[in-house]
Amino acid sequence: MADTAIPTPSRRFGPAWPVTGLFLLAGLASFLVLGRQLPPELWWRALVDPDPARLDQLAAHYVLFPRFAVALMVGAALGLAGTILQQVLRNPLAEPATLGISAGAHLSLAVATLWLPEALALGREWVALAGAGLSAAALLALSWRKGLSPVTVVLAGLVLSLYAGSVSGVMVLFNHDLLIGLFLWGAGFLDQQDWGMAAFLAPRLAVLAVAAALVLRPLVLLGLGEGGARSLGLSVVGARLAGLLIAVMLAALTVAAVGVVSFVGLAAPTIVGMAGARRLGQRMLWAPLCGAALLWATDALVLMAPVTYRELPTGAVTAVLGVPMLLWLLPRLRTSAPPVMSAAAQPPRASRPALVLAGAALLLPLALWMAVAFGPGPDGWGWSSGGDLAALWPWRLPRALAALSGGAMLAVAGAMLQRMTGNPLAAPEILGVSSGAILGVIVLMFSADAPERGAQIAAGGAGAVAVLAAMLALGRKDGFSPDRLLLAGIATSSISGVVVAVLMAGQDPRLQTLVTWLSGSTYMVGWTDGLAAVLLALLAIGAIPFVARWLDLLPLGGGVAAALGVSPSLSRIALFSLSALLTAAATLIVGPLSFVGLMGPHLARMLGLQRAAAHLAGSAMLGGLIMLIADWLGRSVIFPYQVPAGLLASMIGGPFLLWLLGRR
Amino acid sequence: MPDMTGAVDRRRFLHAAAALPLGLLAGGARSAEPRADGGVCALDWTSAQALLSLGIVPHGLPEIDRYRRSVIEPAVPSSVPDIGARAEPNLELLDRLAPARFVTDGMLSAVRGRLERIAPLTLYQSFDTGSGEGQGTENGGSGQLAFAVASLRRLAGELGVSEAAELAVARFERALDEARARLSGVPLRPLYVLSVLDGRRVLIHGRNSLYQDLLDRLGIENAWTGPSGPYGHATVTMDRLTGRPDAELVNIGSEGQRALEALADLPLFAGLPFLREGRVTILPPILFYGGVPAAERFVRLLGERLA
Repeated sequence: MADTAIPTPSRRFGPAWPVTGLFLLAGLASFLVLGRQLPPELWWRALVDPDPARLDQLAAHYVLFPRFAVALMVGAALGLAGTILQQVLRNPLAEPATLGISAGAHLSLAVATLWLPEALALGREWVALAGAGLSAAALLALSWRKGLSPVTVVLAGLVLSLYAGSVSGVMVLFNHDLLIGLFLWGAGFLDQQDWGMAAFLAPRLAVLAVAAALVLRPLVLLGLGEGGARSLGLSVVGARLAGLLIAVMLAALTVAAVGVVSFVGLAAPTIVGMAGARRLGQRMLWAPLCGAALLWATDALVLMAPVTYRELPTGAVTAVLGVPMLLWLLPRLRTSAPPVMSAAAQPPRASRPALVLAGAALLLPLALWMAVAFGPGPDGWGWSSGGDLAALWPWRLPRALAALSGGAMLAVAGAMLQRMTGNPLAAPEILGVSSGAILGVIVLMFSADAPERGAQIAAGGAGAVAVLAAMLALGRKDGFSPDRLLLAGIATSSISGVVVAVLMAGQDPRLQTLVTWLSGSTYMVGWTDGLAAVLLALLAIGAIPFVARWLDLLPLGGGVAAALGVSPSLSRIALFSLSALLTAAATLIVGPLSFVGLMGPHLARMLGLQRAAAHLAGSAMLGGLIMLIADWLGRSVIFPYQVPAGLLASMIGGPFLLWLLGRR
Repeated sequence: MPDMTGAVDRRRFLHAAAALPLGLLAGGARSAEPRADGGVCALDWTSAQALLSLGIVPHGLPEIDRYRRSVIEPAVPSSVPDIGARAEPNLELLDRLAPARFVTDGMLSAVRGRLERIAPLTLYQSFDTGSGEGQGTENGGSGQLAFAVASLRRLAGELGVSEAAELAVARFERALDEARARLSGVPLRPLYVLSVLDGRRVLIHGRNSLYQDLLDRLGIENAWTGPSGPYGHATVTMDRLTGRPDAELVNIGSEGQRALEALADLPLFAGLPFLREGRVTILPPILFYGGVPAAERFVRLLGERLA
């Protein structure tokens, strides 16, 4: 890594500053933590040769020191993995968590806990590693035919991740009490009780770091774009495979070792990049250092936190440190990476989009009728009519309508975001408004005694509006650059991730209803919200003709759009607010699991609906249909139990999307 | 569209429903059937435990299979219909079961309006989550037992079976006396009452737990005096259980055995006296916030296994 030794002069402050600052913070906090336990003159003794009779020395030796070591190694691994992924996938939002690795590990642990406890006895890290490895293999196999093209890898990773996530979500839903260990793992606790995990990680991470150094050159060439790299004699597929393998193995190891550590893989490369590390070599040196410092500092601060009845999981708390840092750096981010929707990814345009739309529109009333009238009754499955139906439809219709409208709203929001940002990963939930809604509902749940539905909606709405206002304030400065908004949204989302993870690990019986709502259930929908959802969805569809021209022009670039009479920042603020409002409304009604916000738009595109108006309308109908059918199945298949529509939509839709992806 | 959010009685509701186009399309109006006494439906496990301990067989109970595995007592007769998940009892099915009354712990407050359209709700809370974090009452106990007894009596009063509550409380007192008698000759050490969650963490019950009161009544000291949350428990790593070297450990939940054996192999924990000297007792599952029936189960099992 010759070029990393000479840092290029930067007009910025240089990556060394934030990294050094973080290390100082981490060191200081760690001294304080150690000092609380042992006098400084005994620290060395406790590290190398603790007195077996002294519990304080044993605790320092087997708990604190290995914990610091693991934090450093995991942080570095995540920083490196994030850097490599951002380079290979050419997407500033790519991070280990988006590729389905941790979701695969999570799923394998859930399966092992419930059905194969013998496997867990071998060691949790091996079970997690097997799951992570399987999902990595699936990821590579799915995107192999497309030459591991970034868009395909990212999409396949996302779908895999959501799919594995929803399968384990169903298990969690029905085995909430048995899986508490899994929640603890998922929250990313770093605490250790011997040096075993550090010894497990060290040699493996060292090998991967050397491997990463060896593929630096091909990875740099990948940054030139497909054509440029090929003309210099690089095997693009080979380079991508090598980079992905290393990153995926790093992610799998860390997830197996300590569970899900959010945000570091995204934050570390972003921080060093913004601080002035431009060249890949530089970034691959500084990002791991930054990740290590970030995680160590977070963990030391967690250790300093006052002792209460629950411990804070470091893996989730990273967001608390990382989010303000990222938000502060965002306005300083230079316009980054080229758009990821490469020309190769465009499916053929439908010759008659109107026909496709009409077909979908015809299906809607049929599906709605089925959802209300067909289902399990006292004497088995059947169509209800007459008096039976009159008794049933007040229970079924509001939910069906809410699912239909919620799906349509999320799909429209997703389609707008994806077109506006040119980022196929731009799902509505990463806008951050659903997180605002989640937080509002959680605050209410733990402060009010028995909140009613109306109060829940009000609290969730207040949270969503607060986040939306913050995002708009943030975006004003820079003309609503899409990348920055997405990054800010992801930052906000990770805060709700922290809260939910901490709550899940605390074993509170009140969480059951929260868990189902978080997985996209229409259970709580009554007439008022069902009809409100229909109204909002109709408004969203009515807005399509007014925004279609913006969405056709914006992807051509701000200059082109302005030349054609569209103000880029004005249109962006309108589109952003509209998608945020739709997301917030849908979140409040059917919960925040909005896989359909990704699936609807992608399916519509794959059906050949390319122009904005047709694409949006198609997305709305497909999104609505998917959620409607999912809700119907969810209510019916395991009656009287129910699977939340959001979960089921991703379980049905995921494989379908993968199939389309592979066929294309 | 009539106002569906307000208190509309069921008959008017169905009439209105049937008058709407979809109802007509389906074949006209159906007259609302008069509701016979459909029994009492429990919307959660603590309510089911309470009803069963009062001698009332609930007409509907969520997650019966899991109840039989994790709550166990009082036993559920096989005739009781399963109404779905605790978080989402099936409203359509509840409407069809047509109970005369629901008993709920209040966690379904978000759908209260629609439940009330089927039958009136009776609130039964077996655990006082407002007792504050790690706080006990002035006289040292958690107050949870008194709270649970009072709730059970109130529920019995509302259901018109007041004497059944006295029987249930007497059963608990008898179990307590029996446990005390069994333990009379046994040297009693301080107890850590916990459940091992995963390889390193335990759910431990503290000062505001139901168990605190029960240990007090048995004359046993609770070895965990650290913080505990609204449900009387805390999630802590095993290495924090060093405060009382003379303590004994009670693990609730049958799967704890293997986890504890694995922990005993680690150098850090090998020194923990209760692991080193094998002072570990395993109890089958108990619902730790389950009120009087859970208290009865705990003292009986503890008396049997500790003696």
